Amino acid sequence: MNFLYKFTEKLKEYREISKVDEIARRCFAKNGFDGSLTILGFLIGFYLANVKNPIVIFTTGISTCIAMGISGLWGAYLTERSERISSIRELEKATISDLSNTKIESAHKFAMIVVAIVDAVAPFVTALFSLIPFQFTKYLDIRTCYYISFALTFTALFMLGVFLGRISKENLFISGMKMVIAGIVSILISVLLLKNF
Amino acid sequence: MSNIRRLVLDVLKPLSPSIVDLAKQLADIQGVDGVDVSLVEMDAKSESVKITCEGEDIIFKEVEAVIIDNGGSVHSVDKVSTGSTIIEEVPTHQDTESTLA
Repeated sequence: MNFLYKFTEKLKEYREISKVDEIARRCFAKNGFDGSLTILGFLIGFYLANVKNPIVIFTTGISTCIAMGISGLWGAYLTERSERISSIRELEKATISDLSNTKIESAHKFAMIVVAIVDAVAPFVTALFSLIPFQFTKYLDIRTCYYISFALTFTALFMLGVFLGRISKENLFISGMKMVIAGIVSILISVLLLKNF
Repeated sequence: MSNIRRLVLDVLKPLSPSIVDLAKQLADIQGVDGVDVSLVEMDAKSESVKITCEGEDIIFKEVEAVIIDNGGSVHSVDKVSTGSTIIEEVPTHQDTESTLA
């Protein structure tokens, strides 16, 4: 119990020093949005191409989710790492001291890992959420699966908007709808461009 | 060797962790009974603080280690009180003259 208390206190301290909460929130919303919109585009493509094989849709979708997750993990870790190293160097100059092996360095390392995980998990989870209906093709018609999947994607987009609305303390419905509109725009452009193919 | 009972340090540290957290951590050191941390000067990324520790047996290395772990550096040891009782600084004629001038 004492160990758990010390551990949570340490995490709290690292969060405060590295100010990771704000960055992680931003990454979650941005990459979750990316994940949802990517999978929406991917589903519209399959729907317009009249793909009816659920295994093709699901396996391609999962591969896309994994690729987005890996992209988030790598990209975020490397960019966050270079930013954090630069910020530590600046702090070292300001305090005229070596910050290696200090709490400050540990806190920044902790932030790099947290941001990388959030960047990886957010698009993976939101995209995976949209693919769930294709696991039930035994019980549902493939067209119904597509429609449920679109509905789930819009729900995810709306919830991400609500999440951002809660942060900015704005109207949650309007904030959610702003995200949904992005999805509608994406569908409209895809349909307009692809209907002649 | 006698114990350190009071220690006054001039420290330059980053803005985060705050002086609240630093003071709490210093007070947790064995042999330290009380801590006072005062802000002397503040910059965009760093701040100068005056740290006063009082206790029965203050181990300087441990105090310094906590400060370093929090990203700070001890610029100078401004005052040390040792022995069985704390002796306050006694004003002399020179001090009075300089005050009058």
